[in-house]
Amino acid sequence: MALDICLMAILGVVVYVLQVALGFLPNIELVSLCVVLFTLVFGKRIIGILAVFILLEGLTFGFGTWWFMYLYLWPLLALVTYFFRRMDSSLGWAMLSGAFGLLFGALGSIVYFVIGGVGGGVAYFLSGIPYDITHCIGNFILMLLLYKKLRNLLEKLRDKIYM
Amino acid sequence: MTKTKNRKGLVIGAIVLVIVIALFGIIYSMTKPEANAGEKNITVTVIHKDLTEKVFDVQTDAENLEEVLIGEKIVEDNQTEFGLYILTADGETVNEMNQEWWCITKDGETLFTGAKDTLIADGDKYELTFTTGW
Repeated sequence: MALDICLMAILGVVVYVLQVALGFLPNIELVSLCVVLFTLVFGKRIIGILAVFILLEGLTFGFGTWWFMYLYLWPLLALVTYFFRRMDSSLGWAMLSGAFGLLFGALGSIVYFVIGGVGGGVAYFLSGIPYDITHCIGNFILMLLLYKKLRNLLEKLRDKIYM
Repeated sequence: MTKTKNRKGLVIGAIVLVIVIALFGIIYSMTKPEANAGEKNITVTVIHKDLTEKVFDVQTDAENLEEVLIGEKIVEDNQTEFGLYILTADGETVNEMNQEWWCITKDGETLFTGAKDTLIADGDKYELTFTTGW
């Protein structure tokens, strides 16, 4: 139990630091990669990891509308990852991660539909399409390049931690 | 057999992803607002903390609101990693410790795009209102 709590805290901070470190690049992020890998390797512990990450994001950048998006977007990615957990193809995960990046704006616009009505939601989605396409390409390339090696590494680390 | 099935799934997935990307690109190119070329007359009203107003009637061929606000020195150019973040407008600076900020609206309606992404047209009216509370 204590080990799990420490692991979730550390990995939550790791994701947070990676997000902040790449924050200067619009929509190029390693969070999607981490969410997918941590879900596959650490299973349900992703819930605690995401809780730490999302809380740290809110404390750092303020609890704006974007923060409410984070409350459902990242858990959704974890859920989809869990659904496809038997897939072991770098290309498959790259496509899934790319699709998530592409749909990030559309899914995020749900908050704006609630607070700004149909006009607000549509405006948010349409104006973000170029960023969503960048997000898709970035996620695809990063996952394709890093999935296999990082998954192997994380599984070895997990086996050492929980032996 | 399973390998062929998996490969088929990946190919279908790749095709679908490319189609959706293309679709998004088409939707964006059909719906993106076009900046009006040539001179435009727009109004920017700054509403201060004490509720006094200063109206800036601007003639410009700028394309977006950020260019107007900075070019006409209505706001101080404060660039952050997220773009322009207005702290000072018409000489008045907000104090973020007191949750003060400048709210941008167009014809009184909330803007859902930042100043750089807000393309201006002739006759547009914008407001910068001193606001307290997030």
